[in-house]
Amino acid sequence: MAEATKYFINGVGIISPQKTYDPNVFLTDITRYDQNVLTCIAPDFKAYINPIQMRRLSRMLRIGLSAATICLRNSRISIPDGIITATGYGFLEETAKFLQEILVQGERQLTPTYFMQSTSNALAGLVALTIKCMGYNNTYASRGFAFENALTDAMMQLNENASANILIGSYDEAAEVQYKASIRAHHFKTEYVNNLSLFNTNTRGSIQGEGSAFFMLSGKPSESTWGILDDIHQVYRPEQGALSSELEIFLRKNDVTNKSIDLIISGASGDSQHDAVLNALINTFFDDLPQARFKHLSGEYCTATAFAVWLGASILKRQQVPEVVVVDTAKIARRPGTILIVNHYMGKSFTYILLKRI
Amino acid sequence: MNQTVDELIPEIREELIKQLNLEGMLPEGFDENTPLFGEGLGLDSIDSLELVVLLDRNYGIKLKDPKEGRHVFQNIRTMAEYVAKNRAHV
Repeated sequence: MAEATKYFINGVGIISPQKTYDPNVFLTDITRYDQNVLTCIAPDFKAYINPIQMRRLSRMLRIGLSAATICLRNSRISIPDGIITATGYGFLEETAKFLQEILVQGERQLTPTYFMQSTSNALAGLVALTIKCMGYNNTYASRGFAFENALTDAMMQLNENASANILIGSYDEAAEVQYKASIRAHHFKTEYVNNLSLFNTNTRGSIQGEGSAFFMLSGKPSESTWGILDDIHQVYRPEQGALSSELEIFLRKNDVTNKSIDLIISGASGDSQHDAVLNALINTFFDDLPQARFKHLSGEYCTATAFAVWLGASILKRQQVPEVVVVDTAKIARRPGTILIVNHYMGKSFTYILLKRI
Repeated sequence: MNQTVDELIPEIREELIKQLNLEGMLPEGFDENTPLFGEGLGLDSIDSLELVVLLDRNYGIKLKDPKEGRHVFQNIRTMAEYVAKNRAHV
């Protein structure tokens, strides 16, 4: 089997707090939120899930299964060779229901559904059962690096077999139980802001988001290729100077200079404290480059990098940068061919992802 | 409380719809004699677990023998008959 040297994104499916479920529409109708919690705009689930199957599924499982189905249809692949999912916190609402039931029922007479739907790998299993995929099936539940770890796994699978098609997806939900705890930890803002003004604030914390995004990754291009996932690098809790040195190594390894990058997608979250480190890094390396931001559209969550990958892949495919994500429109000049995503999650997990046009 | 089979039928039907999220999904002509599994209502193995929990939680009946379950869960009437005969009286 041939080893993959490039990783092609051959299909996408995303459900987010914006109307993104139609792969033919690209951020034309932006939704505003005023209370710091951005929740998914879901399609009509009946278009993707049969009603008898749907009756038992939680909201997030419906969203995840629909996103996976959109991706499968977009890539024109009915059964992939493997399914990998990623989540930071899993199905929090269903976990809360399951724990609540344990309390109410005195640890007896528990119904199976809440338990089944509270496990982090429920979505990967559900997708596999629905499409009858007997291949590799794995889930990463690793907070701010979950999606990155899943991507790395998919790339390793393709290193062994370039012609494989790996369905990789992410999900995280905005759950009330987590929101209250996150407010206390200053992860989210205590004052209400509207999401479209997120980057005009100068306070601690971000706004909560959620979403599910799926990608079909292969070592071979197809008619529906969106772009190339060139490389990924993660830095956890960097010491002073480590972010810069790791970025230099990453760029050198991929033979990229700031002159050959056309667009930076910044994972700034509107948190004055955490963004300071990221902004300093971007300004040092890429001060003169055009920049895009996305967390005012998606909100912050563990697997928000997946939204950034979708945004980057969409820009590469359409050769168009939507105004709503652009930081300085005067700088958007050239046709985007190389995009660097620089993300952070809560100022601890930093990610560099390099995307290229096919 | 000694409920008759006919009294139990609407009660079990309502509980079944609630527990299995079947609101608005019952096929036309569905009644207490319609098979719950297979070509009838089309329930699956997870639903059968939910039904076991329903009997235990609502009527204090512990169903341990899978073969017995196959008979009990044929339709709503067989469930009602089984409950009327075996429910725990507190």
